[in-house]
Amino acid sequence: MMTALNLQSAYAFAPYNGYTYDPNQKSVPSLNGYEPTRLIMSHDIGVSDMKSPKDFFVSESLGRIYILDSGNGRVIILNAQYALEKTITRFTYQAKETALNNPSSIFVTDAGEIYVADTANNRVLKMDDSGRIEKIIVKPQTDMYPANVAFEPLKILVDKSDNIYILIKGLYQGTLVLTGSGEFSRFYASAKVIPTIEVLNGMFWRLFMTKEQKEAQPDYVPTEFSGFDIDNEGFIYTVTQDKTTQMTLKKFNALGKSIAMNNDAFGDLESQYDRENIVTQFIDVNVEENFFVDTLDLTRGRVFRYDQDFNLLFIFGGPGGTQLGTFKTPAAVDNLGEDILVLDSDLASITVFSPTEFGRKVNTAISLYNSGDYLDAIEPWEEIVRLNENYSLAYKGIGDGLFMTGRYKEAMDNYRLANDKESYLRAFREYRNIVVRQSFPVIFAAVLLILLFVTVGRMLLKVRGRKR
Amino acid sequence: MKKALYPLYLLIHPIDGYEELKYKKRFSVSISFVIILLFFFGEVFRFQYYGFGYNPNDPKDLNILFILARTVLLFILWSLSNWLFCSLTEGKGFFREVWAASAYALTPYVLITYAVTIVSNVVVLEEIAFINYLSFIGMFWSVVLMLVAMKTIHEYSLSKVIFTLILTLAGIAVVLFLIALSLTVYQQVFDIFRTMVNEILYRL
Repeated sequence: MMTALNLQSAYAFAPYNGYTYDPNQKSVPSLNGYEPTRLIMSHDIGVSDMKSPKDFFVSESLGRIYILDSGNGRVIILNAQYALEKTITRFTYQAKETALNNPSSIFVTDAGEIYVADTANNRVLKMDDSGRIEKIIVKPQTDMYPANVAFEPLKILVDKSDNIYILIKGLYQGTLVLTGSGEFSRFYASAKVIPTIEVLNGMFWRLFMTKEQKEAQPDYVPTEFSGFDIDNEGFIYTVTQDKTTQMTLKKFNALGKSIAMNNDAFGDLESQYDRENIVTQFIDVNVEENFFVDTLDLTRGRVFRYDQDFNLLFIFGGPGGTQLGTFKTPAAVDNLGEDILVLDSDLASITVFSPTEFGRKVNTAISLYNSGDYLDAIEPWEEIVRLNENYSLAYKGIGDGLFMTGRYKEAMDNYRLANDKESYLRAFREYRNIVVRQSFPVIFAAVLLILLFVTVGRMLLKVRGRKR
Repeated sequence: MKKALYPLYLLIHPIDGYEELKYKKRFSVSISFVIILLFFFGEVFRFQYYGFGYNPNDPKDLNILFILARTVLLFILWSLSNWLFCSLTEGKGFFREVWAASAYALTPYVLITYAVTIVSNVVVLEEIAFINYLSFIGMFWSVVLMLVAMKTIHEYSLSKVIFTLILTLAGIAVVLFLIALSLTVYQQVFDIFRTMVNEILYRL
């Protein structure tokens, strides 16, 4: 009763209705997993108004939030309680002062070195938190880098061995990887052109075009990644804004090979939801320390939260910007502990989302489940089902737990609810073996009896026939 | 032999069976209706109750009208179109005969649909291939029966059977096209009248 009341009251606060996608990829209502709990704006921090901040970085090891205030060309540093710790407004390189010009991305290593993609100045800066620039990285001197593409870094990240990964505007070869000293290393993980009907159709008509017509046609080039993040194990997760590439959300290993996923439909799935056409354009991705993945949709201001296996967990946030928890121009997503932070560059604000009771239960159940603790996960999963019958992931979790304990029939029922045919057939095989084994003596005895009756009957008939 | 069991006799003796069906009038329209009904229910049954692990359909997507269209309506179109075209190409069959013979030809398919649906619930992944073979055999035997039926009913040679078969399928396609066309046209005509009425109502 208490839980129900809590959820009910909590439900009313969020300016969006929770929904999720069932295994047949239809939207169904769901409880909200995350709710906005706090809004942080310039005056809350105690700084002059931010102007279109484009990126922020939450460093959990340092307990700091770095906001890149692009319009004012400064970096604001908050502590984990969202209080101002420091602002960097003056940047010096070899005792000379320099300024940021429309920077668009910031990354902070565990050692506290700050990397800023200083986009309009065509450079990447590496500095400490007092604004002293250690290194300026410019366009690498190599033939591999196409001459007609300017060095405009959009997003940046640094791996554990100090390699710098840069997404560059208009560079289709993939992500530019530089060594720590700024030397060209390689291109990494390019988004491929997938031959959709549209592309093939365009290619067909191209066969009949004159040179001028061909030049007027758009080129089929791979979509650029719109955001990326790196996890603790060095895997890189990328998102694109273009849904047709089927590269919406991808995970790459160190060699730049994409990891196969059992799910490849991300974002809003139906073309119609709320009787509106939905186009999901992922603008940023965040991988948490425990490998949960949050992606941010630019068009609808929604965060899609996935687990380690890329199963959809929650959808929250919404378009607008007038209410807490809705956005005008969402720009970046990151997490601080269990809270998920979303930066809106138009509103110049950070919205803090905290998990609801339901959300927290799902997170724990998923964590238990994905660490292989299927049995311990049964209980939280069952509570989740009590709260939300539509949550098909829970049935799969319960099914796996029951399968481990050998309760195959119940496991089958749960797999059926989760619409997981593969697991269902696995459980069914075991169940049928047991049924056949148990009923074998009965069947065998029945067959023997029938044979006996038939032979005895025949013999009797023969005997009678002989007598006649 | 009883009339109700005649389709089963036909199953095993198609050539003799269809000759007796035509020349000794050993068919009944009511039994053909039963077979068509079973055909329709079998499709619904398979949609809903095929073994869960192998059933690609979502039970929530069940559209009875659609299944009705692709069983009963298709059957009606088939017999009509066949009868019309065969009458033009010197076929000797009456509409009643075409109807009953076609319905009787569906028996193996219908029977195997039910059998396969039930058995698919108790087989594991390795055994599903046999089920698929079985349903293929059912379909194949129905096609064979249908060809024999056409040959006997209309007193055709095999090449002429195939020729009229193509004509029949083309006829079905034309009818379906006309249905789709008229539906869209009527919808637009209806829309025009509705907007006109609305407009007049606003002006009043």
